[in-house]
Amino acid sequence: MAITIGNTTSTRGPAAEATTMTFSHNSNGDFLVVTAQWFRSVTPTSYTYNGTSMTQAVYINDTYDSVIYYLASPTAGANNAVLTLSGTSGITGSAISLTGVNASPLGSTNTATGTSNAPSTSLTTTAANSIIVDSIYRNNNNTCTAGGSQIEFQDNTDLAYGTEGGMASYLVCTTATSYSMSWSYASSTAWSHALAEFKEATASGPTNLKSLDTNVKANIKSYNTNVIANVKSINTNA
Amino acid sequence: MAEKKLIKRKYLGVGYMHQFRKNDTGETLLVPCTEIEYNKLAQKDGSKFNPVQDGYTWECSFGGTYKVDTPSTLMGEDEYCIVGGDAVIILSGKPIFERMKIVPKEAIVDDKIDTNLWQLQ
Repeated sequence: MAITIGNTTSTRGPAAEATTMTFSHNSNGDFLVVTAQWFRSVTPTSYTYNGTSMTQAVYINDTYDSVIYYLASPTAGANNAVLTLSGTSGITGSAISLTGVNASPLGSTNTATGTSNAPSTSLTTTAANSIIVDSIYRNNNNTCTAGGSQIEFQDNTDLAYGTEGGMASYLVCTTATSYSMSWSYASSTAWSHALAEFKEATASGPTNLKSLDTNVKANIKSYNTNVIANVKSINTNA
Repeated sequence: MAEKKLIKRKYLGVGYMHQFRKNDTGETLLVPCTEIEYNKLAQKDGSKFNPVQDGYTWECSFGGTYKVDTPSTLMGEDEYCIVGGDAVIILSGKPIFERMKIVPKEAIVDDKIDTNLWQLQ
């Protein structure tokens, strides 16, 4: 069952430094992934959706921070995502609904930091047809472009506003191999990058049973035919 | 030493805000709220408490700000407040991620700060 993409939300975040932010996401999948980025040396204490705590998939805690959380079976419809930090910072974030994610959803993760105008971080997926989600904070407000086949769903490039710098994208990965998630912008600056693989759901039980039934019937017919042929042959000889 | 004159604001505690974007101009509107009002948003089915404002779209709400005695309850540029033994300062002419600093309150003398402090941190 391939993973399908649902609604996305990108929030440019609070107009002032804060310890907590709340934004709305209209959930239309059976799985939810959220990101957040901030620039002060504080840590995430919780990320909830409609009051339910989400699970942290990956977190890079460096000069700047990026994090990805997820939740299976989120409440459908427009509900609030709430991030709480240990201290004040400028914050940005996003959310993306998915359908068809594995019951054991999290595959590989990776993080990296650096200083450049072309961040690129690799991730080796563990299964075919996974989706990689990445979250990056870069310390400027240059126009930022996602690399390759990445689909951008968070873009906090807003010169006149508070907390420019947060970006997020996803990449559909057909085979289990190494992929690079990359971004580019004009001026070199420090960045923090977090990546997480979410695996495709496996085939369900009823599908396998149907396949087994077909094979059993085919084998029995073949066996009966052989038996009749052998008996006739024996009679003739007698 | 490069000195910057600051305006002192009175610290009133932790602040909470609703943030809207004006539909026709994109202008940001901040409306102070209480901690109780903010916390309702985080509860199960809390979206029914999401704020509305005619002509605006609610973007987000946030909390944990330094609430001071300004109309918006937020500190403006080149303003500061004393919180315990520290001074929280918002300085003009800095990138957004560098404009707020927390320094020992003794660093401010006669409502002036040495702006070289920004280069040292």
